[in-house]
Amino acid sequence: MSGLVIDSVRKAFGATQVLHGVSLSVRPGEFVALLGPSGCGKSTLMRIIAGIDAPDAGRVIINDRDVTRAHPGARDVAMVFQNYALYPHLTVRQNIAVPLVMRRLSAWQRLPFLGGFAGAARRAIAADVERIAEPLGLAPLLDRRPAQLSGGQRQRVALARAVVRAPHVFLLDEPLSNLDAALRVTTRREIVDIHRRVGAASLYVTHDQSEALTMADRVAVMLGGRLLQCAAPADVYDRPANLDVARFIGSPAINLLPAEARDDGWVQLAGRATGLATAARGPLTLGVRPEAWRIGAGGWPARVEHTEFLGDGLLVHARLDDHAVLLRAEPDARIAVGDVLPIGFDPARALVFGADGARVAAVEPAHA
Amino acid sequence: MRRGEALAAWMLTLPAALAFLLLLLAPTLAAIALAFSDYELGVWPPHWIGLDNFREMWTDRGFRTSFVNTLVYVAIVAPVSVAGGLGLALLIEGAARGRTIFRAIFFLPVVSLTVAMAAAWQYLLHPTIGPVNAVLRAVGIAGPAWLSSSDTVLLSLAAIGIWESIGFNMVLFMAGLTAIPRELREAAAVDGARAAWDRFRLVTWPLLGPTALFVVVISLIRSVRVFDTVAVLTRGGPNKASEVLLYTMYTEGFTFLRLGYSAAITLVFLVIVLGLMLVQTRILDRRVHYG
Amino acid sequence: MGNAARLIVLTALALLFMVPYIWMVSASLKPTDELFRNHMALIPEHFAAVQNYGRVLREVPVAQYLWNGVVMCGGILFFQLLFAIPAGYALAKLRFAGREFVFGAVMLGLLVPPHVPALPLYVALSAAGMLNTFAALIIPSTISVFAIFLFRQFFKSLPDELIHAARLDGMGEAAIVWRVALPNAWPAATAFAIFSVVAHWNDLFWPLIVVTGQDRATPALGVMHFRTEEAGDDFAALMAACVLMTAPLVLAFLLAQRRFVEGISTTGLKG
Repeated sequence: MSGLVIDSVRKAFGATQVLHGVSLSVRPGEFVALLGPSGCGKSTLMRIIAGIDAPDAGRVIINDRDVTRAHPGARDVAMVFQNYALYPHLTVRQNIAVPLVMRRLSAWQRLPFLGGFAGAARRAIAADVERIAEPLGLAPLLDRRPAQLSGGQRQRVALARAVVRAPHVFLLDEPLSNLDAALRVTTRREIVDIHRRVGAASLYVTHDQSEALTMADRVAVMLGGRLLQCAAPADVYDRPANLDVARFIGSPAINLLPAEARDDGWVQLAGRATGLATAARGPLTLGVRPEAWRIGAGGWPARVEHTEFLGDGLLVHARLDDHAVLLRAEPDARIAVGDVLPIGFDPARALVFGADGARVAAVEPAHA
Repeated sequence: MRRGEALAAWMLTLPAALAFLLLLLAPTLAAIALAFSDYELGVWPPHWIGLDNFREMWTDRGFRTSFVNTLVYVAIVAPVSVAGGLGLALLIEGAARGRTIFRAIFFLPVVSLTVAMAAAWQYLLHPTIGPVNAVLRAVGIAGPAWLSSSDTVLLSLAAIGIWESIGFNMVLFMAGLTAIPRELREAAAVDGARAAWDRFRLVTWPLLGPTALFVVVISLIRSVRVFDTVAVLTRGGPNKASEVLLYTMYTEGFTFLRLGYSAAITLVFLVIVLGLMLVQTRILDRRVHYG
Repeated sequence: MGNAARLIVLTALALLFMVPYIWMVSASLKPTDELFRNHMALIPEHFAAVQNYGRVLREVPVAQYLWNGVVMCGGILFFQLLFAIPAGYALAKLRFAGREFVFGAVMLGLLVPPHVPALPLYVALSAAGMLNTFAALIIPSTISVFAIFLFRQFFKSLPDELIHAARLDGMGEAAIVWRVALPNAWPAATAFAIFSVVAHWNDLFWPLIVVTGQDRATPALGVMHFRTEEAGDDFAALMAACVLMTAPLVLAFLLAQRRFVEGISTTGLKG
């Protein structure tokens, strides 16, 4: 398969195992977000793909070629660094041209005083730079130095430098983390547009789940050096592979309540039937997202402790037995602290996790 | 509050200001004035003689030799110790292990007592009992009398000077190298700079610009100030072959007690140093900072 | 360059750099006649350390030289800090008429090498009958514009809130300098201290001018004196003297290597 294939990559720094055999593949034209909290190993994985670090074991395959031991410059990979890593002494034009100059000109042609001999090649490079700068709005800035640009402009220069040579694999390492909130939202769209134009296999590292869920075709969730799940955004949200993914995805966070499967398979929460059946037996964890609760139509009494008005909704902090639960209500719901609400949930939207943390299939009685 | 603050500020600055006036400003101005006088220690009052000291310098073969020797010494020591310091810094920076040990070894001469190490060098370079010539004899070369032949004395002093200052430059370059963001070198690699030379040209050297300029100027100034090794090992000899500016200034002033003439030499020295600093701040600074 | 090649080159260069030290120590352990017979051997046939170091310790007041060096460097550093820290603080944190002027003077002072005011200072000290005293060794170096500059830069980075809080707590400006600013300036102070001690301990120019005789001779002068007046052709004893005089600072360096390197590279400015 062309595109990017990562096969059982392992990496340790000293005694710390950072990557425990990670495998992942990205097809050409696909946009995959690598999502995880800081320290989960996602940046290390990206650096291994780029060739900046070498893996202890495993392979990196780009466009059907094993590049595990290849130099970064020989991998057909482009990368946007978190701090952009623009060359401060070069103009925008020169910055964008670097990958082309390094690839198309020989060492002799790159010598400062002999540059004139490579006239045709240099003209082609100049044309390519302008072609890529135009749609990014960089045309008027081409002769400035990075220090004279705003954060958003620098970030676009970094993008332009990365895609100017149409790489096979396009890596982005938290490219939005240094931008302010408003700019972040507009730049998401720009990055996806660029990705579509280039058609590369793109891997986007982020710790921000809203970026991952909004931009990516697939989201790869990484925790503690392991890839826990790689699926479409809706699947990761609605059908997390295990408790860790469920806990990590979704804001406000999912409610996880201790439940139990009776010997006949029926799942009980706080001594009451949930209407769910499963093949597992014994103690379970029941996951209900805040918006999956139904207020006023159920059998569990929840005492309201605190409410937060969100504009498009009302976040209710309540207590069910000894457990804190979060519910999302309509913004105009009349709920006051101290109220005891009867709550229930849609069985179709509830998640059941076995004792080992993996999600287990649960069925509603109607389909049982 | 404002008045109180100003008062407090002046109280805090006063000791330094007085010391500055008495120990730096006044003597410097006095030295400049002396340069235009015929002052000799014990002969009072001195006479204003205008530019006579400088005219004498112009015709004084001893001074000319001293001036030229200083230039030759600087022309050897500064470039070699800058390039060597950079080379060592790059070598050590990329070494997988032993960085601290290597840094310590190359830096050792900087903290060693120059006078003592000059004596050690004298022993090393001794024409008959010195190990250097012993090694040369072993391979069939008759080594020169390094420090007592006018052909080699300046070269020998320059070698000692390089040995002394290379570690200093290395440390400055290493500080400059650590200040280069690691991401830039990584970006260069991803951008296709595959040879070490390409990454050096694209990232390291341009970003080392301010450090390099600084090291060059410091090296020039430090080598113009060569004194200790000359005073200990050669006293300007043989036959003035190792006479250098500060040593000439020292002997004129403190051996022959011709303070006026000595001050004039000091002034030449000051002008050279100021000129070098001007080069740094005015001309080159603009080309190596990327604001 | 491969890692092995790099290590080989570095090791070779390091050995080359060590040559003067190695031969210095080796020669200081050999009997003099061996120096003249066998020029290259590193390990002495007969150890003569006792004779060589004994002769040096008998004939040279080593302890006196080292003590003089300590007093000189200590005195210089003490006054440099005493003058520079309050001035640096005032320039960094207080507003007063003339501040720009004072700072301009500091910047101008940075341009003048210490050799320039040396002649008039010598004349003044000589007229005052102060040659051959600690005062003559110490006084001219007590003002370091570089120290003022360094501390000003350092204090500028201290948050203003800290100073305001100290004032609200009832401290005067002098108390703020010594009890708030200085404790926060240790990195700058150590760096400067190392720079200053290395520079003055090794300096030959000024001691050579103001000190004759042995009573106030610094280590540098002591070695020079022993070399020219007494050692003659006894290189073994001369090397022993060099080892003794070089050892203190070199040992201090080896013990606090990181601080030394940082001290020199952050203060490298003045050279």
